[in-house]
Amino acid sequence: MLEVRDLRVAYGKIEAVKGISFTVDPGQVVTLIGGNGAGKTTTLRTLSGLLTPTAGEVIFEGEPIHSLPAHEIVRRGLAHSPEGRHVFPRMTVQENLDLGAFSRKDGAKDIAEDFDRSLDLFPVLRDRRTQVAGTLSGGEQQMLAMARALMSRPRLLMLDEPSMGLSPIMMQRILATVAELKARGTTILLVEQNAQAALGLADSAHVIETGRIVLSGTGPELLGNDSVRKAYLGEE
Amino acid sequence: MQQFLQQLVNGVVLGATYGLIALGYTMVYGIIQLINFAHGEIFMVGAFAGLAMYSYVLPESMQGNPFIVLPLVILAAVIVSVTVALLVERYGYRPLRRAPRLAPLITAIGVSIFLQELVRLFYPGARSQVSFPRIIEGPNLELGGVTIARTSLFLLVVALALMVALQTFIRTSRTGKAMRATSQDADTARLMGINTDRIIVLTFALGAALAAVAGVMQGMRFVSIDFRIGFLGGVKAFTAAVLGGIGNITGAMLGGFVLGIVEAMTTQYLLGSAYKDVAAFVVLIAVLVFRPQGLLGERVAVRA
Repeated sequence: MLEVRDLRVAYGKIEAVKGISFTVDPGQVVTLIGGNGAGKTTTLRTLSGLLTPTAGEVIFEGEPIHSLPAHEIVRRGLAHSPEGRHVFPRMTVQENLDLGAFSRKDGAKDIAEDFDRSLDLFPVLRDRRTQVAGTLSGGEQQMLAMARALMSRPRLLMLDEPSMGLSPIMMQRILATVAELKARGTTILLVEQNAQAALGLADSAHVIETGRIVLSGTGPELLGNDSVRKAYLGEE
Repeated sequence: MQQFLQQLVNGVVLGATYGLIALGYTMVYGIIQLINFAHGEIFMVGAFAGLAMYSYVLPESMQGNPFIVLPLVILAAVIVSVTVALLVERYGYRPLRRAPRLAPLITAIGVSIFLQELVRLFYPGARSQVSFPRIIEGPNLELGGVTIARTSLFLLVVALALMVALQTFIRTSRTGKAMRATSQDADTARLMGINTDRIIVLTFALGAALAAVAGVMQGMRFVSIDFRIGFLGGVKAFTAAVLGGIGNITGAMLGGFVLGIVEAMTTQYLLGSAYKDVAAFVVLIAVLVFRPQGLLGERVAVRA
């Protein structure tokens, strides 16, 4: 479904991603783990078209997308829920969700159905439809960001740090929702600082350090890997 | 009391023009955080384009009929202003989108001088004032002792209608939502599938169209224009935008009306007409010192 080949991204002269390759197959959850500044967010921002790679290819559903502008990429079914949530702060929950469906060309009826489905996934948002998004709590904003990404009816959903900065309870809820999306068959590319949870969900996982993939395997494999346990799961 | 009401009416009419121009400043700032100092010149170019339509295109037999003249003059003004604004955006500002903010600001000042000189040198007679047709003739209207020129009444009605239409468009239409999204978070707007370049172009076009209408109105009210009207009109409209809260559309309209009224009142009661332009600048300085976020603007918090 998604194939990333030798992707390189630079900010000016500083190369942040130094040749990354991986694939995501339909129905899979693939996770990228690694420390701050390793290049995970840069990778996602490049896949969604916010950044332009200096080299390499991104093939989505058989077609190269690495030179398309961001607004074309979401139309092809690659949705990105960005790090830091980035809800539109002075718009209502409803308007945020409407914008999530902006790229869609299908009918209002299908969009309304997805709207209901999104709100079923996050019932809190239903009561807050007319509330301005900037006044939601962090966890609610995260739910809104995810619901908004789902409104584009993506074939592949990219979630960047969905649990970052949330209370432990809220973190559990968000991760449970990711698990539920997985159970529904949603294809997900997940970047998550809670490596334990991410690896528990992942069909396939990659460890990124300073812009390179240093280790790959299935979720359980990496969960059992000694160096991963030391570096990312906080074990001695 | 009658004098006060008269000045109030004068101020509101004056403020309507400021408000129309201020909308262009505030919308462009809202989308790309650029103070488009060439916007005053877009207003001036609109006035000249309208005049050119009247003087050189319309046959003399039609010049007396405002129902033919007005739409055509305004149309010409809008087309030329929008075209110029889009060229400036495409070749002046867009290449500098990622540059430090000072670069497009300097470009704006350069464009401003360029447009002034272009009109001064190439519009026949524009080295000094050129006369502008009143278009709407007829005696002034009297309302409870307050006099209002037909042109002014027309200006007010058109300005208010345009402001309401703009607000409705931005609040309710799909494209309006996309504009608001782009102004709040451009990168995330792109992730929604919004072509932000197109939104920026549309914003410049809308602002220019409103300024063009204001340019024609200004010409009709003062029955003369010159290549410098963009400077003063621009600075005052900029003041109105800052007063209302830069980036805030309702604020720009409110700021326009407040500034117009302040100017009319100070002229009448405080300083006299020789100092009428001083009021605007006093307001600008006062706002920047005491309430830099403007009347309706939010304090911009620095977020982590």
